[in-house]
Amino acid sequence: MDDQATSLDTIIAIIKRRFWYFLLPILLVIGLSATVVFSLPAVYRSTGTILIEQQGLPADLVRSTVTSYADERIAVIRQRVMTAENLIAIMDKHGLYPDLRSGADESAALLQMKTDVAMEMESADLIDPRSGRPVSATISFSVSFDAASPEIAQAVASDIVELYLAENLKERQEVTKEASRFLEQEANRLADEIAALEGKLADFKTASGASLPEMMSSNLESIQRVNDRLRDIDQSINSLTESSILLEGELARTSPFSQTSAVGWDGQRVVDPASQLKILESQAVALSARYSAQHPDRIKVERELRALRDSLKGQDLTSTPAESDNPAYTQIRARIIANSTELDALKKTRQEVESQLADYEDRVTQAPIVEQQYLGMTRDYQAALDRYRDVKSKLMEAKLAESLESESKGERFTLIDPPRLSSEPIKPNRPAMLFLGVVLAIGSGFGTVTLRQAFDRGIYGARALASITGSPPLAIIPFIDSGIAGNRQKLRLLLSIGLIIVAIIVAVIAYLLIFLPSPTVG
Amino acid sequence: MDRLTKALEKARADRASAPQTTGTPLSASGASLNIRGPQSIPDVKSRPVDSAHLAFHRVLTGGGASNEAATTAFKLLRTQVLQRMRSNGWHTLVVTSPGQGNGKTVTAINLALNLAKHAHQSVLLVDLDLRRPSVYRYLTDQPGPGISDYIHGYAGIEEILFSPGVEGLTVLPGREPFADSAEALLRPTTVSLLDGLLSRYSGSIVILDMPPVLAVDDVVAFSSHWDAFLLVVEEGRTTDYEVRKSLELLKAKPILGTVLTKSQDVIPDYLY
Repeated sequence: MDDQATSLDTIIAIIKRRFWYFLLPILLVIGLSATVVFSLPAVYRSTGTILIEQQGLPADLVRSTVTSYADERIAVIRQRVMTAENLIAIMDKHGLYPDLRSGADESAALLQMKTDVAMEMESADLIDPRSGRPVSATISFSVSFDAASPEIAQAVASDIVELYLAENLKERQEVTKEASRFLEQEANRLADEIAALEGKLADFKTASGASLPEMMSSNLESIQRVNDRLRDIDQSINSLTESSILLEGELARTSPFSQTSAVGWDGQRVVDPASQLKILESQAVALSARYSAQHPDRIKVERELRALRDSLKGQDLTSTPAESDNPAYTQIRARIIANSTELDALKKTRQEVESQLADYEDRVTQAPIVEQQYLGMTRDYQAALDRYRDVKSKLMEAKLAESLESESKGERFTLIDPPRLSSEPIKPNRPAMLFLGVVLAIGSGFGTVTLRQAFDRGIYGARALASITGSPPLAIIPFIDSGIAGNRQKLRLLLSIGLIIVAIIVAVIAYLLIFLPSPTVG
Repeated sequence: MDRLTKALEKARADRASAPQTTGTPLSASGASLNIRGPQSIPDVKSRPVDSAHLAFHRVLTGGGASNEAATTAFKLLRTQVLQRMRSNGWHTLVVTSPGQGNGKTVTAINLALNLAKHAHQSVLLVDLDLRRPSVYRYLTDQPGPGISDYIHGYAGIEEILFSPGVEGLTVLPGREPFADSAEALLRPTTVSLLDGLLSRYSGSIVILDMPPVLAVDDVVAFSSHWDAFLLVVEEGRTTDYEVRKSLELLKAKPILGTVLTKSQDVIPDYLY
């Protein structure tokens, strides 16, 4: 065998020689593989494709509050969809896996369902518009379901696809609603804060409004004004005082009575009470010197004195007597009185003005402190206001985003390819398996022949014999056909047919024994 | 090997004593053997053979288009055998094979037939496979005596020898098998018979169909009575080892050649 050159002729000769070793394994393996292939339950797959469509409105117009990447969200949605609850509902609806669900425990059926549902994401390489860098983004994904019948596959796949779409919508809407709600709360809180600050500010203004920096100039002006006024008043006071002094002097030089004094009822000269008092007193003294207390003149004078004193009680003797008859005197006196009243008034005014001035000055001195406080409060207020404005604008955006989602104008999942009824099963790939079976069969045929050949130590061909004996054989006698021509061939044919029949029978038996008793899915 | 050595010694002894015992066994058996001179071939009975029977047993009579390659091959064989035997001065050819069923008998018969028919050579074919005599069976299904009958003394040689309807071909068939063929072969009766035949048919080519050389030691034991051997090798069944062993066993005798039977090989060009 080692001496023979391995040529095609040799190989063909070997196969012809070991024909049955070649054919039988082929038949057997083909038979078995055909049995296996055709008894495997067909699995149909229905796939739905969902496209991730970008936001319909420009992002500058409405910025979405959903910021996660699509594949993250898809993974999250997947978890939400593939809950036991959802799956059991679908299983009940379509009556899936009756044999796996025979017990109370759903875990086996759930496991099977999870393997039957498949989700695949498809991504494309894009340039991120924001950063300009190439990024791989998920643009679509497909959801499929494997089942024993195409109708069930399609129905279940449709249900699952719907779940995905609904879940996505729900999730997006939830997220946006959350955002708006949060912002709204913030806005309200800030509004309250601002109101409080405003109140504080108002109170402050009421309390120390006069010392506010904006009042400074007016305060200074007022001070100026008041100072001027004060000066005026002082001037007036001074002049009045001067005038009063002059008038007093003049009054002293003027007699309150005119030369012709008025005659009273009794024909006596009317004198002012003060002078009268003096006269009476001198009379009393004179009388007392001469007479005793019982003298009627003395009693009379005493009585007049008493009466006068009584009437003069409460009267200021130095004040200008009401009964002055000197017009000049009265005039001057009146002027003096007027001056003094004016002076009093002015003094009073001066006091007032002084207090006013003190007031203004006080305001000015208070100004820095007040300013500081005021600035502080305004700052806080301003800040709160800004925050509020900010939150308010964000809230508006969020509300827009919310309506974006509810109007489905945001990034949305669209079903571009709904699950269809597949006409061909996805598993088993019968042609491929059969092909594999054929290849295996041929391989096993060759293998068997090789194996047989390995054990064969016979001499084949004249050359082999020649190498042993040293010279080629004298003759090479082929197989001599005995009897009727083609007898051998006929026998061969009969044998082949018989073997094929046997192979078929074996395959059928194998099928019945191995594959039929086990239950198939769906 | 022991048995073989014994046989060889026995053969040598026989050879040494052969000339003396030539006549005795024949006379002892009571059969009258007309020993003619070398030139004259005794007349033998002709037995008709059925060509269909022959064809069935793979004896090619040359008629018909079937087995053309085999026919050609035998022709080739015949020519070479003749040529070599003549050039070497051999008269007795042993046809043997390493094992059983290698096509030895068929080859022997076909060769003898071809030699007689087409080379116009007188041939004596002796079935010396005393263990399993099959030559007669291949030629005809009619019952007839064989060499065993002669050995046992039941029949004379004239009754056994026959011609199967081919001029120049004489056949000495066997009939009953012998358990110990080597012993039977080396009996004085057998030896003298054969020697007698050899001398009678000295102008002819004697072809001895003998048992497989590795099965029994007949061929080796009978070494002194034949000139050359033709080794029939069956493609596929005969192994390298068997051939080498056979050659080793028969290394004392010249090999005429080998024949590859039951071959699916394409006849190489250089043989044409």
